[in-house]
Amino acid sequence: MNSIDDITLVAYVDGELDPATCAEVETLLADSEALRQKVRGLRESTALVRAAFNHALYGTTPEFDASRARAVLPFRDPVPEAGAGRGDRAIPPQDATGKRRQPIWRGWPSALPLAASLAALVIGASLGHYFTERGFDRELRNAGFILSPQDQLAFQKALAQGLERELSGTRIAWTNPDTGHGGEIVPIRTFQAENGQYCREFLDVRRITGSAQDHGGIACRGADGVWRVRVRYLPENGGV
Amino acid sequence: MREIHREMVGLLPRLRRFAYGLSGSLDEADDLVQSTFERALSRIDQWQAGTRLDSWMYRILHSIRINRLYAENSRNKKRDDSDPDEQIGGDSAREIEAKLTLEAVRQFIWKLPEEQRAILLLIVVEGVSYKEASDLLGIPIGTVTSRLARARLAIKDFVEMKGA
Repeated sequence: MNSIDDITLVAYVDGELDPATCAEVETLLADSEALRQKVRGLRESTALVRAAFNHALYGTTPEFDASRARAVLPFRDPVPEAGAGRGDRAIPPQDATGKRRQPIWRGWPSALPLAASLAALVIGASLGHYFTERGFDRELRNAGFILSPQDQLAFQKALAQGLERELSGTRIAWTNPDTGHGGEIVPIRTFQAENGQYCREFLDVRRITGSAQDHGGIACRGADGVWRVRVRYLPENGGV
Repeated sequence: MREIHREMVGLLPRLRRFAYGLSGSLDEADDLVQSTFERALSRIDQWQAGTRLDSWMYRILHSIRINRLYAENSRNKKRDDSDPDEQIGGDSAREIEAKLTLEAVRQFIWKLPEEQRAILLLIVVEGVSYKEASDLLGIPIGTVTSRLARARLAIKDFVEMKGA
């Protein structure tokens, strides 16, 4: 071989050549500064390409911060919860300016090992929407995973109130009188996300199809005070 | 928790990076990743234990991306005339801001033909082998190597031009 085509040279940089061809390339490299420079150029630009997209590994968009919750969010210490007195809030409320007031903590219940029984599947808040669009909705409805719009309203209301006000371990029931569907939400852990948002892990038991379906999730309270589900855990048996 | 689910969750950051590289938008990337998880979950029985889960999910993500591009193009009645094997450089390279930054590198890559970009991202960024990339994208290895070389040389020239 007395010249190297670009394909071979790139394959050399990538370590994709067999030993014999690799040795040939190295012989030629030893003789040619121009070729060495080309390899250097390839290596340098490759390193830039490699680095260029890494920030996407760790999402900066709010929705995705929480999707990574299992990996990232719980690393901050769990937030101690207020005492059990009526009217106490599970997490500090927001004042009119949206700034959090410091609560007086009086101990907190220990977290339940939710993750042990549920498969963590990171799917964003708009899961139902996407699934519906994509025609998976029947299976998911059967699995109790997607709620009808009316059920969803009742669920969201209970979720928002429960997460905002109730201590971990409290069962918050919801029901839609029109359909008879309902369930319970149980906050089980409170923590603060890296971006300062309060997040709560919760158990979500639904009675839609006769049998109860256990789900789990993590919801975080946005700057607007609205609780949004960020992560969903599917039941162990798959559900979908 | 099923081991497979744990593994899938572990792949999320890399899938997101791949989706971001392909699409050029974090929002679009999140959407692609979400669809990828949905499809992977609904077809989990099609994944063969012992084969690489990451390759399987990269493939799903890539095919969702391609389908969307196709749907978009036909919806807009806009034809994509770019030749998948075309060279990029010249004007495209000059259009991009003068400073050599990672942003400039990204912008340059986003101007590459989709087919070159997918190969480049899989091999260079995600560390997939030539053979895996060929299997995963369903294209001959010769096409993988030639498109990859075109993209790599173009980026090298771009970087040298900016860095000079």
